Amino acid sequence: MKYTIIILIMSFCASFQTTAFAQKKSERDQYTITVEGLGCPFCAYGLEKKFKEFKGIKHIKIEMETGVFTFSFPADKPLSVEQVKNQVEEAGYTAKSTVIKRTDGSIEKDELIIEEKIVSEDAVVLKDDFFVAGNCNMCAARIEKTALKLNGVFKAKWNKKSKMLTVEFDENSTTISAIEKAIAKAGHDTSTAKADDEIYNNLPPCCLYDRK
Amino acid sequence: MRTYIILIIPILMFFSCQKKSEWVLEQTIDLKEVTPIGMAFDGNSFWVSDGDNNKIVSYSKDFILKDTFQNFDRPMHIAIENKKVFIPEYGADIITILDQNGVKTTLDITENLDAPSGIDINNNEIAIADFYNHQVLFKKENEWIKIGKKGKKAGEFHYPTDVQITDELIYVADAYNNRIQTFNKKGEFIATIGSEQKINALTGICITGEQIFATDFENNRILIFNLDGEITQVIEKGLNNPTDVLVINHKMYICNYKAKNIQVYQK
Repeated sequence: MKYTIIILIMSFCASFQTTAFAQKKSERDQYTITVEGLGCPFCAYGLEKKFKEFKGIKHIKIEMETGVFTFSFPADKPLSVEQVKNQVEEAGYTAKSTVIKRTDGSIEKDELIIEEKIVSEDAVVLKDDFFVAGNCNMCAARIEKTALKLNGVFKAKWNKKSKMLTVEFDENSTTISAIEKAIAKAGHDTSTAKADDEIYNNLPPCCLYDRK
Repeated sequence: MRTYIILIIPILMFFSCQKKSEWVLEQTIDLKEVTPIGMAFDGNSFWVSDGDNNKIVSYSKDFILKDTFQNFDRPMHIAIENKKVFIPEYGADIITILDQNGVKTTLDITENLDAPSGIDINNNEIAIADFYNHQVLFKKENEWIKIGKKGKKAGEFHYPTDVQITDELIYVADAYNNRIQTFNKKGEFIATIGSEQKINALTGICITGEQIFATDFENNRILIFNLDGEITQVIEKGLNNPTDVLVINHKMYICNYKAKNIQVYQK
């Protein structure tokens, strides 16, 4: 009798563990990423292809108008926010926000917030514009974000047609030359700063502006 | 008075001839839930690939919806041969063949594709634009050859998106080199077309016996060249990210990706 009870308890535990494991395996976390500047289907589907490197990815959906990219992934091998952001960047994009809804109800979130900068009293605000090579809305997002991330830059707007970037910045904190260098580091040539070939070649297809 | 009439008649004739040689918008067809990327015609029906929604849609000659085929993985620039639709699946790296009964098979290719984005069939010849491999695969007499490699020089590609085979040549939409390139059927480079037109993403092409048509995706233009590569007309009004162009029976059909419509032009 004693042995029967022990065997029964052991088989109950084993079956409970198997069920829990199977349930965990079938459960999927939900990922929502907002990418700026999506507009060209060839590049957008390329982003999707990049994420297919994560084996087990399913329910992929891209909304071109809003730039919202969603998918599910097995909960038993969760992707971190950093992994997701890196994959987006490797595909040449900038993630505006990343939200992961885990199966236990918890939410992990990361947002690229460019805070509205307060212009200090002693700031010397200058407005200037300069040439930045680029092609598309994705380029615009990358160029403007790069400039706005810099300390002392208050406003940045790139014109797709004229290829001119208009910036407002504090002369005490930064210079046009520093802004141009930062933008070149992001892959876009300016009149005085040239992007490294490797960075340029890693831009998404539609961002590959003519360098002649 | 007689002198005036004599002068006016040739002037009117000149302008009338001018107008006839240009393509003019006839109608715009709203596709509603379909986001068109590529287009083909089988003699009775138009076929449209919808990459965003992973489907292929067929329409009557009057653009009445006939059928919808689902579960493709980012279908791109399609082609039709013997009533079969050849569909490059960008996301699945395969060419799917869809027959009249909706049965799917896969085209047997010895090379590994990476995001096929365009295909054309001409009798026993097949050409495929292999986007991420920066090359075109061409099959003639049961043998596949690779044309081009990544680069900006003549004969090289930067993300090819569409192809067309004529009796003499293979035309390639060299999308992000912003030009068309032509090759003979040995895979040797012949010519470049459109380099001087400041194109921004040349995604789709169509070649007739008289003209070469190209979509300028980012600039919202259709460029029309003669067969010598000289520009003859530029259409700029009312386009919204055109991805493909098709010319059938003296009518030109343009897929406007963002506007979700097809524009019909005639001469």
